[in-house]
Amino acid sequence: MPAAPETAHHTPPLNALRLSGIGKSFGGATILSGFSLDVPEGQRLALIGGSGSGKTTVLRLIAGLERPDAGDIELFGRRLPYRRFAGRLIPDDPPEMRELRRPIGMVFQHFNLFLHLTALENVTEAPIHVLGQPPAEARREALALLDSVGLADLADRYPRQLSGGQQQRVAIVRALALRPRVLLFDEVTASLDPEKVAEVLAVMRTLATDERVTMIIVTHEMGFAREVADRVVFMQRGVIVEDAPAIDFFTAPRDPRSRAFLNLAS
Amino acid sequence: MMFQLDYAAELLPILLKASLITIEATLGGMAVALVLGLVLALLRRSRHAVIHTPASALVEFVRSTPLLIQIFFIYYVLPLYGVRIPTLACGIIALGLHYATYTAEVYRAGIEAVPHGQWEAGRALSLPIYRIWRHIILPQALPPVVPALGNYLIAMFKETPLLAVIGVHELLGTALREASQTYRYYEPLTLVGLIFLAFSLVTALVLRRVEVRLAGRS
Amino acid sequence: METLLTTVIALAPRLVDGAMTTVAITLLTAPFAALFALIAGLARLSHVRTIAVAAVVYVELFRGTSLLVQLFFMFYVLPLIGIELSPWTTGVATLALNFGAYGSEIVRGALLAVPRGQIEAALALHMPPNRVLRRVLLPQALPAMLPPFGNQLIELVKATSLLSLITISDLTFVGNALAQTTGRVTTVYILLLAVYFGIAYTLTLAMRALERRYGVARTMAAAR
Repeated sequence: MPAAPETAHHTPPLNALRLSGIGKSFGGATILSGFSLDVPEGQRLALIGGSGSGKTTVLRLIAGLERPDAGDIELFGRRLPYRRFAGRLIPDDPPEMRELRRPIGMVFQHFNLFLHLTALENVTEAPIHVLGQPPAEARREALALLDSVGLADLADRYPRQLSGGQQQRVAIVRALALRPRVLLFDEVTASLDPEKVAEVLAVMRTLATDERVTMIIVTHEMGFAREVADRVVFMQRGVIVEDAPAIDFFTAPRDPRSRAFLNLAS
Repeated sequence: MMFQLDYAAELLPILLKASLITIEATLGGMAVALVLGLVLALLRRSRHAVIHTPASALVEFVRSTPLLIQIFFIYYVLPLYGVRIPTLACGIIALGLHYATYTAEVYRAGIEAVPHGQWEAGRALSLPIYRIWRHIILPQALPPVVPALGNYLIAMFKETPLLAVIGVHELLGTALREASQTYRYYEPLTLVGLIFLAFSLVTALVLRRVEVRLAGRS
Repeated sequence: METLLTTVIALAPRLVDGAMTTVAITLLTAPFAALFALIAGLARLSHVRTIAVAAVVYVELFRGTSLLVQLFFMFYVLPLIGIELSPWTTGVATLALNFGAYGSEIVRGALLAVPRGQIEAALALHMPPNRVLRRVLLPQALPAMLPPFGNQLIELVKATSLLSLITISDLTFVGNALAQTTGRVTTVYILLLAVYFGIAYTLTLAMRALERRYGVARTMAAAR
């Protein structure tokens, strides 16, 4: 999104995402409480931390797969309309909520490709039926996208006929087909065989060169985070321990807990 | 037409008494089904085709044909060949035979779930086949299938009204007899429905507890 | 032996009539039962409490009471409270409601068995709920429903015999009448059982063909 240069000069860039005062608990266990995070447009944010740190919950709240118990979520300056009902927050107007969230795309740890659809059908499903794109056009664009990740030949295969790395590349293309402005990556290489990790990271590296897309990456791949991210947020037990530019975080972490984590991770 | 509470109150003791016959038929039928089903399951596992083929054919045939006709068959046909059985016993045999084909499948699943190594261990110890079955395989195969057998107990209970057609005065038969005297069907049939509902809900609750207890043990 | 053969030939036309009726009842009831099963199975998973509770009441009511009792209730009691239905309507409606209640458990189980990630992926693609259901949930749940629905179809064939008790001249009704009028009790009942078996077996083969085409085995075979 090319912002007008004169305003960009005076005001900080628009926040793609702003979480404020988010609370979330599961069956009595508090995962997040009073959690706040601003993500400027175009940023590559690596969200790291051990298991149980709440980083995946943050992504799922943004994607709408979980509902916050408290707090606000803003997307490009617009507050997502939740209302309180019977002590919980529920979407005030589900169609409007879907509309507001449309700029968000998500890629999952376990790919979650639709098992009964081919790779191509997985990619064209949402453009045709959510965006209302003409099928022929959607197919053409999907094939071009699949080609860009080296999978054009496998467009008619079913997910079970693809390797993990191939499935994950299809899943990334499926998210891209909706032309997202915010991409969420949830441990996308964690369930891949080691030799397939590189092919997925290569695709993500290419994506990261597109300055218009904001990326939030939950990952264990420290090398990749260091290479691609501009900013690192390190979480522990639902709290941000350190929030720093990626170079600073990896070369000179300030918090002892960050140092301990990096030592373990490397 | 109004539901008459005083007539219903008059009927209730009669029907509750008749439900004893329903329970008798259910428990009798289940006893037959449990034993005969196990026999059929074991016969179907025989290595000899002369044994497992007829057993399988019988199971398939009885399972695919209506219980109602099997009841008629046992009640009308067997006496022609000199087999005289009391009416309720006819019903119990028919229920038991029909549901034996279901329990046989349940037993089979239980037996097949016992790891093959258990057989090999038994043979390695040179145990006689009878002891392997009795002391190694069945003790492991049966407890897990108790809930499934329980479901068939409930299913069979709900089929006992079919015995009314051969004149067993269980719940439905008694209700119809009363109705034919007063020409009022509303109260007797509603009560029968309610009694069945009450029994089903109670047995379902009991079964769930048994299931929980069994799950807790293993 | 010749007398047996002539008896069978003499009985055949009426038995065939009865068998046609039995098949007709089955084929007429099955789609309605499947529809009720689908509606009730979905309703039980609804987030709207009243819808879920209504479905539970329907399912428990029809599973908790006996089919024959339901049939007699509909046949004898409904006319008394002003609802006049033909025996055919009564029979088919009761069978469909009863089997729909049992079938709803199959539908519910199959829907719950679809991996959670499939739904999450659909939501992350901003698909509206009805589209998630039609395009993601149902296509993946249907193959798993086929085998248990096949078993239910055989149970339905057997259950149609109860309609003979509310004056419908199905196979059982015709058989009972023939047993009384001809006195050839053994032959008639054995023939009856054989014809029912034939119908059930044919339907089993048909369902197996359907499973081969659309069932789990095929969808999974894509893994090859």
